[in-house]
Amino acid sequence: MSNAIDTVLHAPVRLQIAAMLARADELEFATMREITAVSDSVLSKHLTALAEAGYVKIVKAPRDGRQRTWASFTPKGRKAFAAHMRAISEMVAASEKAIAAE
Amino acid sequence: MDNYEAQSALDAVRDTDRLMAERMKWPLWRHALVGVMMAVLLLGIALPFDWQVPVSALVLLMVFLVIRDDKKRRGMFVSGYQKGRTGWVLAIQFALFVAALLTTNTRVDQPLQSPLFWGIEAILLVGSTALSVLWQKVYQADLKAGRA
Repeated sequence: MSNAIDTVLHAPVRLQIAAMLARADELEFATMREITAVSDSVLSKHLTALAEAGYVKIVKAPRDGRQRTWASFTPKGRKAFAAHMRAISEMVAASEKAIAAE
Repeated sequence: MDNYEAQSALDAVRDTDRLMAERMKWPLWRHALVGVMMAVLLLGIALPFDWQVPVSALVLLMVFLVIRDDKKRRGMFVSGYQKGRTGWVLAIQFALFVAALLTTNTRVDQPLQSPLFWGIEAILLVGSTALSVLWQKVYQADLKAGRA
């Protein structure tokens, strides 16, 4: 296998966040919460973990009198997600091949 | 991670893609704004130099307002540069703009008085609007099919 599983992206919620950020340039916290269907604290915890790994850039900006949190992929995060997805796909493909050979 | 977890992770990403595709819907006026921006950009290039700076500033202002509106209404911003088949749509958009620009430069002397120029502008506006709608449909289809 040429690509390794990324432990930072292993948690399902983090993988979901990464998948969203791979499809949009910037996402607001509330939008991510609606799609992941997790609580504010859980989402915040995983976003912070991704930011600490250097995968996600978090920006806070005021709008309509309230502070909004925006997230976007860093180049490192985009690259890590692509490698992680390749690793997972290779794993599944190898598994399917093994089953077919039986 | 075992094979079962890997398959579950892939399924979760596909589900997320489908949910994102559901949200990748912009109203017709938003697509038409892309067409207007292209037409204004061509106008700015075709007009005398004195007009180029204010018209370019107007295009930049429109881009800024579109991004701000997208973020406010949809909680996300998606630029035109995405992976997948949308690259072809962008290439066609680029070709359309270059064709409009070349035709204007070679066949139009006085843009504001030329019916040909306004015809080119109309084609660029309608064509760019249609390409923006096409871009959305292609991106949604890519996400739903797990292609992008």
